[in-house]
Amino acid sequence: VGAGSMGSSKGELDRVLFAEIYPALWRFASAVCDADLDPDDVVQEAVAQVLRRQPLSDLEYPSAYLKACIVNLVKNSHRSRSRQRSALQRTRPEAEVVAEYPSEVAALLFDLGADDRAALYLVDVERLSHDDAAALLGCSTPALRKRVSRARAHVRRHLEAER
Amino acid sequence: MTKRPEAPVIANAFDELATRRNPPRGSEAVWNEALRLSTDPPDEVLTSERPGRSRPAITVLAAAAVLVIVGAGTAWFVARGDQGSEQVSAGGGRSSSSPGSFDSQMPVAIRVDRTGTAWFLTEDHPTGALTVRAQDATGWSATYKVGGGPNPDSHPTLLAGGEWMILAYDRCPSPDCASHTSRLQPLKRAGNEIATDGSPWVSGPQRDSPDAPRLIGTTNTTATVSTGRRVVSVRRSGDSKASTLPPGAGDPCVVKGRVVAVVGTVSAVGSIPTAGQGGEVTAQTPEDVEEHLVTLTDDGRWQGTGSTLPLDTTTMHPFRCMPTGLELAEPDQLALAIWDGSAWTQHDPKTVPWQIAGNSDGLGLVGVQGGRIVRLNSSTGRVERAVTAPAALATRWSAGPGAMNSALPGPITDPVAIGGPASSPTAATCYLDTKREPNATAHCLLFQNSDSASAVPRKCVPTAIVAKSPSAPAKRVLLDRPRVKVTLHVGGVIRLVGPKCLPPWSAARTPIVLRPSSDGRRYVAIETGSIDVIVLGRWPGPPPPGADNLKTYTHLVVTVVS
Repeated sequence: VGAGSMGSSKGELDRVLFAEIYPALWRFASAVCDADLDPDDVVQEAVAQVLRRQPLSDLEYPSAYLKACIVNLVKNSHRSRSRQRSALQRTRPEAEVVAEYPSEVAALLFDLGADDRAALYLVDVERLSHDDAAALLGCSTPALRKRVSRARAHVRRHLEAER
Repeated sequence: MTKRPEAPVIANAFDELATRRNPPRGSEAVWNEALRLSTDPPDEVLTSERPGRSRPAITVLAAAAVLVIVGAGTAWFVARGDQGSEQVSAGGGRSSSSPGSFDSQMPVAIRVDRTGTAWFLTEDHPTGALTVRAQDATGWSATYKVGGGPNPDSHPTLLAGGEWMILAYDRCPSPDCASHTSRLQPLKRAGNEIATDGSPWVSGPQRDSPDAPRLIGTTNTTATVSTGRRVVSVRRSGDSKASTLPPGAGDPCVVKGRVVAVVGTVSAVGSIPTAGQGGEVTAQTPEDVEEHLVTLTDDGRWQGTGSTLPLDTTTMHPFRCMPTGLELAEPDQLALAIWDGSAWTQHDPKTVPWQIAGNSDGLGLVGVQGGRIVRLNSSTGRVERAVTAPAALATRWSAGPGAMNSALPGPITDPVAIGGPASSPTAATCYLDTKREPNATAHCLLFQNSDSASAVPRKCVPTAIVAKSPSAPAKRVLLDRPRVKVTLHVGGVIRLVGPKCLPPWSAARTPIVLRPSSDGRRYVAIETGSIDVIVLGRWPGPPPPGADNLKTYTHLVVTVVS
């Protein structure tokens, strides 16, 4: 078997693997992304970053690793956009900031940082244990517990205020 | 795990978020695009972990390495001072950042020069470094990188002028941007490289707010740019000269190779009251007021030419400075015309709104200042400025005394910015000559410029085009694919539509108007606000570098039938 066909079969394996994990990745990205990012863009960029280094199938936990990449990408994007926004306010005072999800629980999630949102999603939706979620996000278990607790408190506080 | 009362609510909220996103493109499409992107070199470290593992120690090491690199880069920038040295690569050279990354390079401007070469200006994030790429139809491409300082540049843009592509930007030497310098760097193709034409012209420190530079005229040897109150002429020989506009001068322009501006006569009948004076102002509207032309001399001084423009309060002959020269309006339309920064519009005089122009020492009695008509309100004694109204009608223009009657450019030409509103520094106007090419087709690229892209959520981008020819029903074309086609008759209107969250400066509020030209030849002007419309002529290949990075761009093909 030549190297080319080996590479080709590896590529095919990666393609199948990605098709399998894509729905979960997209769902995770839609939870973590800011409102002005497209989940597919982030998933796509995360996969591209991995493929530049190695085949997807070489990863021990591809889904978990890609989710970590997604969180990092969103955080990077948020930082660079913050700088753009501040520059924009200086040059275009009339540009109004549009609240896309006003006064809803979904909107509350956008008050959270990408890390907190990811932690909340992994624990409350994907039902990962705190240990697993912490490992995925690259933080300690106590830190993750704190993030989840803080995020829940944020939602709870607003829900109680609306009652 | 203890189930908390808000858990279902949170899960539902995440569900709702997912439903509000753009629908998934599917694994196949995302995979193929990721595969293509993966062939480009990485632009930055996106994760500091090794695959599939959590390694805090490695994270710390990687972060430290990044800090060292950033520190070294900053020191390098500081060591280079504020002179903005450049680095040129050519022959298909690639910048250090990948054009395929959604977070690395944001397009700032696209210009096409007279040879059909497309020039792209992109800004790297988060470094703010500027890169100019050029690519022609034969596949030649080259990259020009602008050395930066510790602070990001502002108002970067490309100005197409004659043989040159002029890179213009402002730079703040200090983080608080208490002062700034304007820089102009002429670029052009020389062999397989992008060559600079002399050192960049650097203005002295300026404390006023930076303004987007505006190209006001070019010849084969000189390009003249106005930035704020400064006028800069860059010569082919590399030298340049700069001058500050005299007080009260309107927007400058180039007439017969000379930079001219109109200055109001302050010694006419009555006086010029200002809002700052307060109290009752008894000044009367002068019956005959002349606006004097001043020209910029070779040694940088402004002097009166002896010529005057007939501007009086009964006929109110306003003028406009165009890249091609000075134009005067016809007498019967003068009192009705308002320059809104991008086009002349006609209004019923009774409905023209005015606003107090504020305290403007030396303001012209009547004329054009900052792209707006100003007048003296005889009832209040205050200086007022016309407010733009949305209704736009075709207007007729003729060359008045002293005006230059220059031909408009051809199908593949310089999309010259003609001084759009301040909120749209990259507004461009493109022309299409349908006489030389009956049933001509314009290839346009619609995209959001970098500023608007950063401010507008993905859901707030235009979703469709409504094309309306004068004698045909409106046709709606969804912008749901990379290439859409529209057929219009001369006089037709293209309007971008989108959700309500489109910002007010969006092109959705500014119809794209296709208008016949003033001299009877069928030109079509496509004018937009904050969304660039770039005519790429017969651009034959795939989207130019940088464009494929944009998810919101649409290749709009406009066929104009006469």
